[in-house]
Amino acid sequence: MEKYELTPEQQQMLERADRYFVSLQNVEKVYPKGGKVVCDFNLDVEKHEFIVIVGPSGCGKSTTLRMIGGLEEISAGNLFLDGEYSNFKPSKDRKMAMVFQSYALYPQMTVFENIAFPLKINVFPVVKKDEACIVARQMTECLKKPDVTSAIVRESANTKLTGAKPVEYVMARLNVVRACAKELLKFDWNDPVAAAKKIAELEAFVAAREEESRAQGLELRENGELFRDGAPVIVREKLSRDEIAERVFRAARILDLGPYLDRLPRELSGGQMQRVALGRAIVKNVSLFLMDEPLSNLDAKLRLTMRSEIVKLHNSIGATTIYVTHDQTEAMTMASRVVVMSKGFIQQIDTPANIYNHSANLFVARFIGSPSINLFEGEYDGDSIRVGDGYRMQMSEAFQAAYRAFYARKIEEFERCLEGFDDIERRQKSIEYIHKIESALADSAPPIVVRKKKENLFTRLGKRFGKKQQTTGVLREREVAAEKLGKLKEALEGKFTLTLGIRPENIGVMRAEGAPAEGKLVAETSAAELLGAEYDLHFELFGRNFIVKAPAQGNYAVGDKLLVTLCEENVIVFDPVTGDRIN
Amino acid sequence: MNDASIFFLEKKKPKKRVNVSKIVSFFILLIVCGLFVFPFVYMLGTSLKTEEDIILHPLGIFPAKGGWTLSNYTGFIIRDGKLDNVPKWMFNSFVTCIVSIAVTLIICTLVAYAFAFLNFRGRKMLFTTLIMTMTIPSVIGTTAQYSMYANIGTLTKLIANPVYIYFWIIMPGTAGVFTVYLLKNALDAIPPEIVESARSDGASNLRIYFRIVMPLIKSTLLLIGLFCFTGSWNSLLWPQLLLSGTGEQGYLTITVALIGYTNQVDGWSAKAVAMATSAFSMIPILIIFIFTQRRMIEGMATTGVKR
Amino acid sequence: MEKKSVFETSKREKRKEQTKNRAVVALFMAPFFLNFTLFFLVPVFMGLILSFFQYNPYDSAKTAFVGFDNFVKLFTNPLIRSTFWHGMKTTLLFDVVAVPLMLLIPLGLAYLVYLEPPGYKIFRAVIYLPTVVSISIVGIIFGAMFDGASTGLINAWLGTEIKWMDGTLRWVVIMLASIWWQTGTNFVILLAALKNVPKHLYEACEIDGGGRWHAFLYVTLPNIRGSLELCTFNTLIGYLSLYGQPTVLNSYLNQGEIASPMMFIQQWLNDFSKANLTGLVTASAIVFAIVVIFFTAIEKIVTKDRKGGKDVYERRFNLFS
Repeated sequence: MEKYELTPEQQQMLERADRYFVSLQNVEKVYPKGGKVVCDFNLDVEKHEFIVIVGPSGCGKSTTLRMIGGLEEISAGNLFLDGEYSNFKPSKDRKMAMVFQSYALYPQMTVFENIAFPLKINVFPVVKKDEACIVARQMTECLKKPDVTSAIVRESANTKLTGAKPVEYVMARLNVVRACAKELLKFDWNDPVAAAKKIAELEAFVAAREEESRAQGLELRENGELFRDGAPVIVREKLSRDEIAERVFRAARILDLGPYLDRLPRELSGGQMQRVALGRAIVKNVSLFLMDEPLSNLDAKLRLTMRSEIVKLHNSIGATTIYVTHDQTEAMTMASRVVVMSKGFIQQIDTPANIYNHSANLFVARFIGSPSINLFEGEYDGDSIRVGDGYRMQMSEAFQAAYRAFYARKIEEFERCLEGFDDIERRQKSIEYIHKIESALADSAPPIVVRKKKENLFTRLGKRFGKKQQTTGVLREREVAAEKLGKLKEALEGKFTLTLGIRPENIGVMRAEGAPAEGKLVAETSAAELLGAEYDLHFELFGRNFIVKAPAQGNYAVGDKLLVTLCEENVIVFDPVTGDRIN
Repeated sequence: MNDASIFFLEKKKPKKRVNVSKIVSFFILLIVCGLFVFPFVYMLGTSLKTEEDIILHPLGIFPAKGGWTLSNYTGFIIRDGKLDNVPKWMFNSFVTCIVSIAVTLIICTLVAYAFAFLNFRGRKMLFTTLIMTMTIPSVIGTTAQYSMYANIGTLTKLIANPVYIYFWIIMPGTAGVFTVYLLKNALDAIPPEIVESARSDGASNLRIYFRIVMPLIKSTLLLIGLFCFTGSWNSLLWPQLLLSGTGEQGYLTITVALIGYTNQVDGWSAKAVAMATSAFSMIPILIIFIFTQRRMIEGMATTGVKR
Repeated sequence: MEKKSVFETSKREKRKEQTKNRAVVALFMAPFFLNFTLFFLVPVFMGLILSFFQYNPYDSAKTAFVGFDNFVKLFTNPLIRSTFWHGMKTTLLFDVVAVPLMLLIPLGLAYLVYLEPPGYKIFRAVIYLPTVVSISIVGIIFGAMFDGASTGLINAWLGTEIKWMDGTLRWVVIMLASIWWQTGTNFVILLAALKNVPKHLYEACEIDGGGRWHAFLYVTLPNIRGSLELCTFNTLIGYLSLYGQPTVLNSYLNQGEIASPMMFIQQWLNDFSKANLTGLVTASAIVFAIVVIFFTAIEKIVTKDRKGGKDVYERRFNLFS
């Protein structure tokens, strides 16, 4: 093997690849007509993690998942699975299972056949076994207990009682393979000496086989497996009917699908179909699970139960799961780590708690949390922030320093970006930088779909020969960059308007008695929604709509005057120009 | 460092599998479509040849130099100062089609509306029975129908009357159960609330049918019209049965008339004229096809969809 | 003025409305059912009866009841045997080859177009175009191309003088013409069916480890089943009722040959000299109809849906746990 000269970058990449189970490095997806859908995606997943990629429709999360799964081609960047470079590996070699939003069950097969399908059409590495020897050994065991065995054999004849074929009954009760069961059924139990004779015969047979294997350099172990020099001999072969059945039954037991094994998918409900899809995934005994919005087609209540079931399944199997959803509740409740995406860019990767409490930017703060974070504006003058009609929040030294450092850094980044527009090589990077900023400021609502006009021969001809549209000489992104740079510079120059956010639970409300005290915030309830154990109170403050949680005992109603206390340590300060968090 | 890493460093890309199948299918389809278009091209080319040209240059698709002629076309439009038969035949076919479409649309939509929106006893059963009659081959009724036609014709002495003949040509095909089935399916897709709210506004059923429901299934109606047109234009069996007894050549439909050009004796046939006539008679259908082809194809497709 | 009770008035109004409703229903349904009865039910019914009669539509005075005589003649008369039964046999033989071809070729073409190579929309239209042409034009074109003289197109190309339209060879021409003329119909239906197969199933199959063949067998075929059955049904019936192609693609010598049951019915009905055999012809139509029903019944049985629930694995599972 020749020695390859590795650049330090490449060295780092490979180290990352080896250390983590799944490693996505600068992965991008570009469609020939659609532009960049996923940009600079970096994620390292350790074993047994439950990663949830969450974001609004069209943010690129499903595309990313499909790239990991091999259903979409990776335009740029590297994907490493278990240390191996996998950009171009075919899906079936990636040792993973996928669960689709539409379940993707084969409609003409029963549940059993659906789950068995991946086992049926693939070869698996198994330890080589001496089948005849196993049969012989099992028979010997059974013959040594003739009373028990013959009783079971007799029972098996009564198919009505057992509800199964005799062979299968014997197989299940005595835990023997099919060939052995057949022999036992054929055996003459009435003959007293036959048992002993047979035992002798079988033991001789086994001994002979052991000799043979030793002659070939193999070691024949107790359970029939063949070993060579202490290591098992592995062959790739198709699973037998019974082995398939066993695996399917095991999966069916975990997912409680026993009563449905003979049904067709069209006879099942949504939740049952989802479980079958899960069954098909776990039966493959793989270590990586990819799930593409599996719960979106279920009704709300079912979603709750299936949520916990999926997590329980994940834990009991010890798998690594990458899960995609647009529902932030699922992300918060199921994930060990959350990846928030917007418009193709990663916004933040962190644990659910951190995503909630220390949101990295406006998008994450707005997207995560139900009810959503309360946002308002305040003017910062270098010392304190003035909100609304005169409410002042004193900012600490630490904050002031962080503020200055933040803006200094941002100004530098933007200046570099602006320079980049003039340089052909760096222009694309600058454009993408601006797109990234815009993604952080984006609305989490789905994009408005403009219906495309019907395209036929005439419209296409019109496009070709019609008036050419004016192309502006200046890039839109460049203008945006310049504009934002200007605003950022203002931040360090005097008063500057910042966006502030506070979570509903960090606001305290009380009924206001009498006249408002000095310096206190008072608001009037505009809506009071009783959720059972608590209220969602809506009121207007600082010119914005606020939501607050209040205990049910308060008996609030529309028009009630509230005394509002803000927990100032929990106020998050965002920069309105880039959307990033300052403190 | 494992083998895969070396793979990564060398950045080898595997062969693109998907595009190969597209290219292969393109070439196969090109050949197949060439074969499919060929008979039309042959027809067109031959129609522009003179008769000697055909015999002298059988392999040339298009006429030899200087051999281009439109005489085959003009020949059958005017002859001896009178309008020749071909335009007459096309006119007959045309009228048949138009009347056929009109009758079919009216009576089938009325029934479909009744089945979809009117509540009456035995509605479902009647519909199912109607559908079941589709399994009865209509050929059983052909002789009886012909007998009825002949019988009534001789009794009323109308048997040579073209209106009478055409009445019998058009009417039997219009009560199509399959058409009713298609229409009912289309009507079932309309939310019943629309009809109910119109009813509660006091509209009569006839008005609802005409002003509200029918406009909603315009595409289905168009489709049925299209298929009715081509079906009627190309129908052979029944018109041939009824028209071959008549003496006047001018009463035939174009399809029946063109039969006369087939089965010609080897080598001595008036191939060019036959081709010209065929090409000419194809023009209406071709025009309709060009403008509605996409709808035809997509409509054909959805009628065959899941049970 | 009598005081009518509330119930009575409303009952009367209800009845009035009921009759009005019934009138409306009748109005909507009458045209169709009138037509349907007159031109379908009555003829079919009459046909069944006519087959037991000796009847001449031009001379109805000579009508006579003959019982099963017509049917007996149908099975014994040598002329019938050389025409009707000859046609039946010829058609069935042709169908054995034609029906599978008319399913496989459109399926293959549909699959190729489904891959959406460049210009596939044009290919789609070209394949469908011949289906709107009438059979007489098909006959004219193919008749000219396969002209038996050495000046016919195919003959000139091959340098031969094969008499294409004679004898059994003309069935080759009929087959080619049928393929050209009618592939489009099934093609379009199957193309739509292929498009309707959910993409996710293919992806799941790929992830499960299936190759191209597995995908075709386990995903494509089962999901286009409905359309495939529809096409089979239509093609079967269409080719049992074969009429147009053998009529227009015939040679001078073969002109008398009756190559299909429909040709028999059509020609004998047309023939004024055979008008008094109308009962016989009707009987033949009934026999033919029975054959058609027989084949379609077989087709429906063979393609029956399988239902789950045989409890095969459920029992074993209970044992297992």
